Amino acid sequence: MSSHDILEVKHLKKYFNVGKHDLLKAVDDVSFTIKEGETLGLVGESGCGKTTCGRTVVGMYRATDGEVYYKGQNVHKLKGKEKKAFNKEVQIIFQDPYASLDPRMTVAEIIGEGIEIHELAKTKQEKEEKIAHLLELVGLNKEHANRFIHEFSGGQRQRIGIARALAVEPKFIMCDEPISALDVSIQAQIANMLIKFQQEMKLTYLFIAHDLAMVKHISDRIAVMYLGSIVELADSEVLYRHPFHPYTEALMSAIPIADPKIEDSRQRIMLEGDVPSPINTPPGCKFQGRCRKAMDQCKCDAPELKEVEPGHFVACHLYNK
Amino acid sequence: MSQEPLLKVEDLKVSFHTYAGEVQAVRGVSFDVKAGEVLAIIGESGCGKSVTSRAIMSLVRGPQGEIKKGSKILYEENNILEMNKKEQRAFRGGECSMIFQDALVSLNPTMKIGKQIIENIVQHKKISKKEARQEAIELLEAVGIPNPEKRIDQYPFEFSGGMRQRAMIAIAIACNPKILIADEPTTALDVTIQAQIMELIKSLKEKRNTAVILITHDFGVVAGSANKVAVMYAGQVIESGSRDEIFYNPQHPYTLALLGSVPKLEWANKQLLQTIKGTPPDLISPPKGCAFAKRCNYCMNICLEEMPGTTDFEDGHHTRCWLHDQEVPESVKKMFYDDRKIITDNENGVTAVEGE
Repeated sequence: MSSHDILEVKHLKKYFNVGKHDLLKAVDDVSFTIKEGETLGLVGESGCGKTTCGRTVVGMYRATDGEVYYKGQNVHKLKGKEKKAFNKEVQIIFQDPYASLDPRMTVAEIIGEGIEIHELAKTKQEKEEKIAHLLELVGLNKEHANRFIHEFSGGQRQRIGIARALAVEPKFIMCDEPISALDVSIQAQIANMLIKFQQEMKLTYLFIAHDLAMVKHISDRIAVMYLGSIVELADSEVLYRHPFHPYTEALMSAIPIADPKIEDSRQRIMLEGDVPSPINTPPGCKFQGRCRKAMDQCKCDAPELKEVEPGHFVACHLYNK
Repeated sequence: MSQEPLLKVEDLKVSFHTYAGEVQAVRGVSFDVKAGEVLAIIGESGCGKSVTSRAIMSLVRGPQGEIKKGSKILYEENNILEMNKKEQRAFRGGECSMIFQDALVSLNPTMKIGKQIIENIVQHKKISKKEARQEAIELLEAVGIPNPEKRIDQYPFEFSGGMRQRAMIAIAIACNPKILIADEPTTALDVTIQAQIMELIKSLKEKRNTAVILITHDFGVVAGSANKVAVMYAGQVIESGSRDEIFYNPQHPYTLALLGSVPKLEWANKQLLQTIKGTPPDLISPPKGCAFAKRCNYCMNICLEEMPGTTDFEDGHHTRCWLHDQEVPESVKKMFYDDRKIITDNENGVTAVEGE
């Protein structure tokens, strides 16, 4: 772990028991680091374990195995005061602004809750000022403070969710598909806001999404997940221009591009079938059933994530020489 | 292709009567589709694109829903809105069918997939159940479902998201419709599955010469499959034209802003995206002028006062914007075209995105 890393994930595993004999390996031996002030994008199809991974990293789920270190402390072993300090520094922005905010609380109560718990305001007046300031920061105004969540549109709710996360002056934010549920023009507003806050407040993001164009836009580095494992990790530019893993290649070629000339000329790499079930996965590479470059070796050995070029990690036997 | 349009919508107006008042969801929409053509209707949520498609399928019902007098939906010269119930039934499902966004909600969870397909075939064709079952198996195979003989006796919950969408397409194409309406068919799906489904819709269109109305909010999907595009905003089509005209020669500030708010892969990271300030207007009391005026960067006095008329460009490209009025000073027009250059140049400039 270098001095710039704010978060280090080591061989993280999260299994769920489903039924008597079945084991769902949602996150299966995942390792990565996040530098201070950077955005790591985590992409993959639904059910690949990206949300579970994010939630285990911030300590919402207990890990089955492996460790997560935040500023050198093991996240899953924190207790008491340290745990409280960690909860203040690490915040989450959830995907669904309709489901993640309490409908019986006013906006001021939602935003003020964290301020109270962490005693960030000395007087009531200071707290109110803080709330008003946060609302303005996210493009709402202080008149909104006494309203309830149902009075807001989806975009406004997401703004409130962001204000809630920022209220406790966090350092690290796990953004779990924060813009997927919103309209195109509103997505751009929220994305701009996240980029702006990162620069102004020196925030670090773990950005989980399946909208690849948006992830590329926001992230410095991107990790691609498939069935609980990271198959490729690289700088976002490099990953889009020269993907190594066959799955990343297919994923990149499936992104629709809003330009007819490019769309007409490009060749799609079509993936056959669906993502297989993550319950009781067979040995070998998890992607081999859908991979067009699968070899005999892929059926028995699972490839490990290896650095192929500086900063570019791939888990594939093709590059394992 | 200079054939007659298969479906023509003229001045369609749909309102919903709610406790808060009359919501004018669709306010005078006109467009047409020819056989073998894909028309994409693009717009944000609440712009009336789904209501338009539901009106075509006669799914707007009283007492809340009302299609205003003077609206016309012409299918081969017959006005669907004036048909009787029996004719409407024959049209819906037989001539024109629809794929919905959320396949899990649209399929009946208590019925086997096969029965749901057979139901439609028996309704419209005079054949026995046994023949219909055989046909259903063939349909499932046509939409790319492996093991159709086994799958036909399964329930929707046993299918994955992409499979369900395929099953719904099988139901929709069961009677060889001439028009297929796809209401956000891929929004709930992952990109790799989205690519599969769009490919399927395109191949069906080519094999059966179906007219497709594709409703979406994703410009990427439009670029990959549409022939014509209609951009909707606040219940009106504010710009329509061929796909290339809309992407490379947009004439309405809203279209331009939408194009600018989608990040392009070749753009520099963390560059701020163009946003549209504010939110769409309330359609209970829509503004008397241009609906987009309040959010528009080029808003003039007239925009707030009067609704703009239609301006025609080459190749059936229309737009509704005051910018193209003769009396508008050149300086304002220049501002728009300068801004447009930034966005469209960015698109034209780079063509090298993964060659192989």
